[in-house]
Amino acid sequence: MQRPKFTPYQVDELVQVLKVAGRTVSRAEVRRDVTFPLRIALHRADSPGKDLSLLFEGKVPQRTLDGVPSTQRPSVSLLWFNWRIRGLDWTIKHEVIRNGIPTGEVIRGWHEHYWTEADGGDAIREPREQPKNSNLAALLEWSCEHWNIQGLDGSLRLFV
Amino acid sequence: MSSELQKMVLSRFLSFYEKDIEAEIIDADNVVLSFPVHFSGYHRVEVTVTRLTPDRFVISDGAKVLEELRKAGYAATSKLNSRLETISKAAGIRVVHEHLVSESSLSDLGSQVQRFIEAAKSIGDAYLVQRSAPQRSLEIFNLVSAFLQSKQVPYQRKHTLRGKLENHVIDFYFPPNGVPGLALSVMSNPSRMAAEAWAFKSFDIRQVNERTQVGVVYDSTEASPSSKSILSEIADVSVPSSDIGNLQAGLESIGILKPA
Repeated sequence: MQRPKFTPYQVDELVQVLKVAGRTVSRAEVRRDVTFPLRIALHRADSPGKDLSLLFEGKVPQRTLDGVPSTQRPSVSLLWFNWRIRGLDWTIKHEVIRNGIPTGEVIRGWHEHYWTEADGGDAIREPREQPKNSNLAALLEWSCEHWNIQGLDGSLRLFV
Repeated sequence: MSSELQKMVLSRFLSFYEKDIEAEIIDADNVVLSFPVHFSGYHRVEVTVTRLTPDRFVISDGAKVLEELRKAGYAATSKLNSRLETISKAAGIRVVHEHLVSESSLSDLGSQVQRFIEAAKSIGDAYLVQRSAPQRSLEIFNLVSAFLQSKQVPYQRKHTLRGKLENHVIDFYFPPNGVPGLALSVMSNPSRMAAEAWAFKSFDIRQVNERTQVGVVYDSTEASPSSKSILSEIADVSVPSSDIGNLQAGLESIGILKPA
């Protein structure tokens, strides 16, 4: 699978610039037992008419098995041309990799995915701040603050 | 001496393994274990073990493996699920609502957890590493976008166009506006099969949209002679990516662009 030629600088610039929420591409919903994510198109605030192929994605946990509790948390990502350039995700433990090789460091719980040339969106780091809660609304608030997005708040009604 | 070495290695290995396994205890009958076994992207295999009775246990993956498959671009279709079931059957695993699930008695719990981990890793690795369908080429999209922007031609991205049999998502759509419309697709992997599928799509679009023509910009480095022949025969506008300037002539022939 060929990785696109985004540079971390292009990605960082896109994350830092103020973005506004556009049309809702898909609502978070359960169809035939599969949970589909919330997807919202994002645009630069200084050129809202231009299509950036940039999406905000919010995922709620999959339906649980009867009698088996789930520890899954929701997750959020920024997808540029369908590639994850930023993400906030939770796992019990996740090895930090650099240039495809584990460094020996581990992150427990919430971790932020970011884009590097060597590892693409698989690179992870400690988030600058932990989300206030483990629900999608809290992650959305976190994303607005750390990935500079405005207008996502109106999308709360689109959750499952 | 060799026996001593064996004991030392095993003891160190088991000690590391035990220390590296992390757990999240949900309640007295449910625990999630994160094993130092990774599938592609360095995702650890996480397994939930649920005690149903003192002798019956359910082992499941919390839908993690299939979720990673979807993140990698695989739709969780019934066909994919049935293939996964075939793979996991050997390990006594079923797929239920996207969860890999296995049952075990107390006496088999250790070996069943091991088999479960191996099967989860095999599924994750096999599908994540050997991805057959390449991603759409960003470069060709950018090439077409840049060309259209330079010509200041209004268009719609990812427009859904109704066909007689099904709906089709069009990469660049020019609605009819005094001149015929154009449904322009980008094809980054123009294999013969992809070209044939595209030809079907074109026929379907034309049956309902009489005033819309169809076009394609394809990756010229990947196209075989047979796929080039299909695309140029079927499309009203067929442009190889190596010669994007030809798109101008194609748009002019329809009337979307005025001749310079």
